[in-house]
Amino acid sequence: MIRLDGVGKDFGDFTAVRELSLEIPEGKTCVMVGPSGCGKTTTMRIVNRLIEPTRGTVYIDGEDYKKKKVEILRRDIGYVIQEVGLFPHRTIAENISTTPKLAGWDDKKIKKRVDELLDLVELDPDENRNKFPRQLSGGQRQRVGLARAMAADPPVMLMDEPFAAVDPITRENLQNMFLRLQRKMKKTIVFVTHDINEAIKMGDQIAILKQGELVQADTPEELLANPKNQFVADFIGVDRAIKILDLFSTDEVMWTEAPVIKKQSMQDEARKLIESGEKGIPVIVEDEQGKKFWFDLDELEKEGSLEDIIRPLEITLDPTNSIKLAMARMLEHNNDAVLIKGEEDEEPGILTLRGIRNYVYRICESSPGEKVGK
Amino acid sequence: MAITLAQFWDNLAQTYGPIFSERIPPLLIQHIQLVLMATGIAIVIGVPLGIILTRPALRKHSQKVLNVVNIGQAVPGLALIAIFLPILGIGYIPAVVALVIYGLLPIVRNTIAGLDGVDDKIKEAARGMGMYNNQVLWQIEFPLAFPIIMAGIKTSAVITVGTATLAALIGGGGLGRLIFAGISLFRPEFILAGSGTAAVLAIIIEKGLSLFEKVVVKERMPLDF
Ligand SMILES: Nc1ncnc2c1ncn2[C@@H]1O[C@H](COP(=O)(O)OP(=O)(O)OP(=O)(O)O)[C@@H](O)[C@H]1O
Ligand SMILES: [Mg+2]
Repeated sequence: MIRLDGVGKDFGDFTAVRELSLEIPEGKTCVMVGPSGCGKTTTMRIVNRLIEPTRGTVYIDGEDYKKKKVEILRRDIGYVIQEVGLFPHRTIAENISTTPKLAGWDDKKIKKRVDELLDLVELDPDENRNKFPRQLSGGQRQRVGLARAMAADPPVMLMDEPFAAVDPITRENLQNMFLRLQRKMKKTIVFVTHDINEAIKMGDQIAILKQGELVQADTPEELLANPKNQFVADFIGVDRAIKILDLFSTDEVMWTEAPVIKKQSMQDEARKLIESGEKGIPVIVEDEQGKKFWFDLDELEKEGSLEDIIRPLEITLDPTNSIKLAMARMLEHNNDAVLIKGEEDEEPGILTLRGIRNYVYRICESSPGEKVGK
Repeated sequence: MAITLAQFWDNLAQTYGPIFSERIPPLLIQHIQLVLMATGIAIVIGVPLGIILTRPALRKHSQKVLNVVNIGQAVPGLALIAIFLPILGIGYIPAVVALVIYGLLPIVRNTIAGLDGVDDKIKEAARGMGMYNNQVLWQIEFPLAFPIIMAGIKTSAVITVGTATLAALIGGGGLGRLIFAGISLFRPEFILAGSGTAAVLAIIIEKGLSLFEKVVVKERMPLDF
């Protein structure tokens, strides 16, 4: 656990960080976002004491970090710096082994660890171990920077725009890779980015900074639902509702108990459903070949012939996919629902456009922040 | 009167043969001793001085020290030797002292420039990972600054080979003796042989140091250095 307690930093007359208090629970990721120059890097540098705070202090696992020898403190904190900072005169393996060497590991253990880490960040050890940083692409260098920071398995990681200097596709890959790793490693992480989308994706908690001050620190859901003021709302952007789509997986929004009926007898079966008092639910229709269709029970009441109403269900997604992906697939195929694979022997779920619409609207509506957003 | 090529070579051999076989070798050895000693001492003083002047505590003094060292080189070599004459007298040691002072600047200046030139981000990464200051210096800063420091050492050595010819004026020996003998006896072949040998020596030392650098560094340096 990391706790910043009223931390501040002045450079001469200029206050880079005013007074920051923030708590990052064990194993969680806190993402700091804010415009350029708002003090993100300064805060990071305070946390591993590359600079001394002018005010306040930091507690790591409940202990005032000034009690520790600074070099020892830093070895327990993996630091991925803005612009990577790999040592150009050292090979990839040597770069990664920096902290293990400082910690006095033996060569065999280090060698094993280097290979393990290269595998972890999805770089072929045999191919890359003896290369120099200049022989790698920007994205590969960022992976090595990450591996180097993780090398001695520090419980805390500071990551300053670790994926900034790469194209969007590579960045997405790196983010996903990192999320996979973090699910296993459960490190306590402070992550800095400019990019609110990245923050929403990576963070358990998002801290928005403005000119050295903390404006709001909340879970991504809470932040999107309840931006505290106009600055936060502006920072999140006008597409707040779209961003919410990123936050939820399909299994959180889908219908799990949609009735499944046979196509030959669908008219009768649908009628029975209505008679039994069902309303406003999606119904899955299956024909003899196993092809699936769907309709909404409400539509039947209004119109009449089911044959005209049913729409194909052509797309199947995983329960872990985001509803944004589901939405994108629906738009691509001009569908208005997708099937969601069931876990093992569970029935598949169905996620409808209408379901998403209601879900997102309820989140936005419930928040006073809605009045703030434009 | 036309002379044939064979006659020309004959003449050349007759004039220069004895110079190179008899006069040059002992002087050359003296010269090399002077240069190696002076450059060696300049390195031993200059590199640590440059390192100390880039440490945070002393950084603010680095310009002042550079200015002082600069004077050493701004004064013409001849004048420098003249200045030391009354203080240190004549002979080998005063010559070495003068040459060290003369050769110090490029080494100090390049050591400072090399260390200052190391990217702050890289130093920050090293410190951020928990390296002690001396580890940052020797594992990161120094290897990265090494090519630039070496360039300073090469410059200094080459300058010293030239300046060392002046050592003869205060009894320091070396190839200068032949050159000055040539001047006073009006024997241009002495002047040519002496300065030519010094020039070749400068080239050899330069190439030798480059080779040393290559061996030490192998391919470990970034290409854009
Ligand atoms: N060593 C320093 N001396 C003086 N001012 C500094 C120093 N370091 C940072 N600053 C100032 O403090 C402010 C915050 O800088 P910081 O690097 O923390 O910004 P940041 O939020 O990381 O920005 P970016 O997103 O551009 O990386 C800036 O205005 C910067 O100019
Ligand atoms: Mg920054």
